[in-house]
Amino acid sequence: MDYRYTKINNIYVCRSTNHIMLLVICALVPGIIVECYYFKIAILIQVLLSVISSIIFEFIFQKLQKEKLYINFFDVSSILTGVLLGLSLPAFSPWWISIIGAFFSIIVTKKLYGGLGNNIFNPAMSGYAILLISFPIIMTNWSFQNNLEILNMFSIRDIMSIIFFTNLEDYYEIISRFCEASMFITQATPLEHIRIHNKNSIISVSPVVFSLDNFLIYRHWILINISFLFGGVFLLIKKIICWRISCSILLCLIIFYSIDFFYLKHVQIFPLIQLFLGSTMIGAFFIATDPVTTSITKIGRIIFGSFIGILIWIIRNFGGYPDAIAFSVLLSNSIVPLIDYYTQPRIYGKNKKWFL
Amino acid sequence: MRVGQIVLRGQILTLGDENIPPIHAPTSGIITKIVKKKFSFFPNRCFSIISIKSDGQDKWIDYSSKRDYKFFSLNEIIQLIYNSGVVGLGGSGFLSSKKIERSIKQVHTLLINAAESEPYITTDDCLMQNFSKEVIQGCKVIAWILKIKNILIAIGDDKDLAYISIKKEIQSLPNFKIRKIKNKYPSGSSKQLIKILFNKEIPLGKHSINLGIIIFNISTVFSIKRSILNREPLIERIITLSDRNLSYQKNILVRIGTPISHILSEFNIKKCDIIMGGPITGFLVDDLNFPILKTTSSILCLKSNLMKNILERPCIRCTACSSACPIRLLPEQLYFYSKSLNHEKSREYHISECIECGICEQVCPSNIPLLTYFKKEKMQLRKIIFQENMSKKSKKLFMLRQHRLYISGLINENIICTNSTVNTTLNNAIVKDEDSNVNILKKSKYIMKKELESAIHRAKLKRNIK
Repeated sequence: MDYRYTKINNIYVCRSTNHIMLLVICALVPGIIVECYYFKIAILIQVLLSVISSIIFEFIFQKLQKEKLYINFFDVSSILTGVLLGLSLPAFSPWWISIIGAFFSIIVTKKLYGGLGNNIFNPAMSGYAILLISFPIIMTNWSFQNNLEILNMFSIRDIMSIIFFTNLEDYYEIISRFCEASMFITQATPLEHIRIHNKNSIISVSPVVFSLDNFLIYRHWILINISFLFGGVFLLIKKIICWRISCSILLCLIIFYSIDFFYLKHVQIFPLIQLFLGSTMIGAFFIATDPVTTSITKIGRIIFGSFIGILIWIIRNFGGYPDAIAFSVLLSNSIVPLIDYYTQPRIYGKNKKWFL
Repeated sequence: MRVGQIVLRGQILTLGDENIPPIHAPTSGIITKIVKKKFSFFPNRCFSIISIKSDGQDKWIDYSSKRDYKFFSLNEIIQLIYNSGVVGLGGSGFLSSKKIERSIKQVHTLLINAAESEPYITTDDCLMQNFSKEVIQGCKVIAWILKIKNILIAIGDDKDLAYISIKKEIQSLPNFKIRKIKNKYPSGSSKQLIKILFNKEIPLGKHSINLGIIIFNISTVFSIKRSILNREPLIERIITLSDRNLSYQKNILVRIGTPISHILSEFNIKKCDIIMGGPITGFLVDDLNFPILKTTSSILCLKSNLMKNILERPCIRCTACSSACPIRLLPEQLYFYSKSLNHEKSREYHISECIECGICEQVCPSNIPLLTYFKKEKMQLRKIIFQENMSKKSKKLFMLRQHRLYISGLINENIICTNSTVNTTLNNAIVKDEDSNVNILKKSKYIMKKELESAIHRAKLKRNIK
């Protein structure tokens, strides 16, 4: 097939695919810096581990496929997948966790489906979800992150030893020991708190009333989310991600949280503050907007985003997991072909339908 | 035509048919050779090239009758336009005479398309600045033929000089109107132009004539004027010769059929890749002996090796193409279907409506040559539809033959009645053919009766034997 390439770059602004991915990674930098401030070097180690392992997996698979290396290897997409996976892992998870996650996200969900652009599910999130199902204790131990005072006791050497040089059984021991030291029983992530509170609302347990003062304790969650929000706004200004997806996710969440707040009165948190808990912002701006796995039509993107929003609310309130980004993104990825089929735009000169 | 014949300028070289107009000799001279040749950038077309050695005198062929055009009848004038070989010079190459013939008594507006929106091309601009009087005369001629009262000229908003010169010409004419439109690619295509000017959309699968609007490119109008008032066939046109950096840009009046290499040597251009047509929709020319066609509006010279370094990356469905598409198609879906040869799906997603503007290819971040895929897919779809039609036709013919056999078989019933496999096809044939349906049913009942009688007869015979 003979190709004809005449790109007139000085007329159209067109970025290359790699440029787009690099900009997304750049937008993640403020979030990483803030997380580094709270979790020390541990989060950087996780990100580096998953990035390196995903690059290696990509390389190995391309060698096996006998593809031409130079085409896909300098794709920044696998690096981006690694960064997102590393950010979503708990900071003190052992080293093999990120390698297993990278294996699933790169090889199983991306390469086995036919490489970049052909995967149905979000690679980073499917790797995360598989880890969450297979290693629930490690993956849900957010207690470390919550007790920031403990973190100050760690030196870099300690962090390295926790991540790299502990057996699985020792690891559980360390977790429990640190939990005891920090009086874990009274402390949990706000999302976990809300969930437990929701479950026990029928039986009258001592109500956990959240006010603004209490939120000063959880200010690091809010700060991390705000830094990701900044990156997301940067991407929106650069027109790399579509505003429809992230806006509809956030709007849906606000609507349902305010239903919670004003009518059901389960949780006494102001809905706007609730948006900044957990990994809402990174999910809304960086994970759900992965162009490969989202709908391609405009209305379809709004439907996709609101579906994610509803699922997040449902799983967080009634489900078994405190943070629901991964499952809701994966579930709505699976209905993308259906959305695409039914929301085709009206082409030029066709009669108007009632719903489009 | 034969080798060694002496031709004059404007003499008809080949007679046309329904879709191809006659071709005229661009200059006087002797025919040296007639060759058939295929070019790699036109994979499905075979060109027959007539090369003429010029005698340097450039003699015109004699046109004896010089009547005023208003004394012609309608058919005569359409025949005249056809004989002078005018086609749509904007790029479509559709026969102008056919267009006029179809739009008789159907149109109320003549829209002159002077919105040359593809970058680097300034032929329309040049034409309007230098030949504005003739263009207006051409408009009058077309308006006289079709009895149109409204004439609208659409101009891109960056062509101020052309606007002024046209405005001067039409000051005293009340029917004419001129409008500036935003200079944005593809507003030069007929669909977009109607959407911008009238805020109407041409219905799916129909033509602008159905809305009562006939669109002519301005250079077509010019050549129609030349053909009717000057009796001069279409043998030359204005093309833009430009560089990517615009270090040289010229509008030149070129005889149709001039080889590209001749033009390049005339302007001392060396070592470059040539794109024929606009930078977006044009095609790369490998063979520099390729002539200027009637639809060529520009020649773009690029530095060589500029286009070979770009790699095609996988599509990441970023929807840059579908948000840029002027007719709201979904190029990324079409790309997947055309790559996987899923013809039914690509037909379902309206690939035939693509106007081949090439914007999707320009905005694609992964450097996918989408237009090439679409053109190939369209070609294959056309083949499939052709084959379907052929098979339908042959099936119908087969059924008719069966029917005929059936009717003739009535005379010797024994052959037909014993042959049961034919009978089922015959029944199909009866259903297909609606005219003689009742007749055939009667006949078939008659045959059934005969069959019954013969069966009873045989049974009786058997009983007798026992």
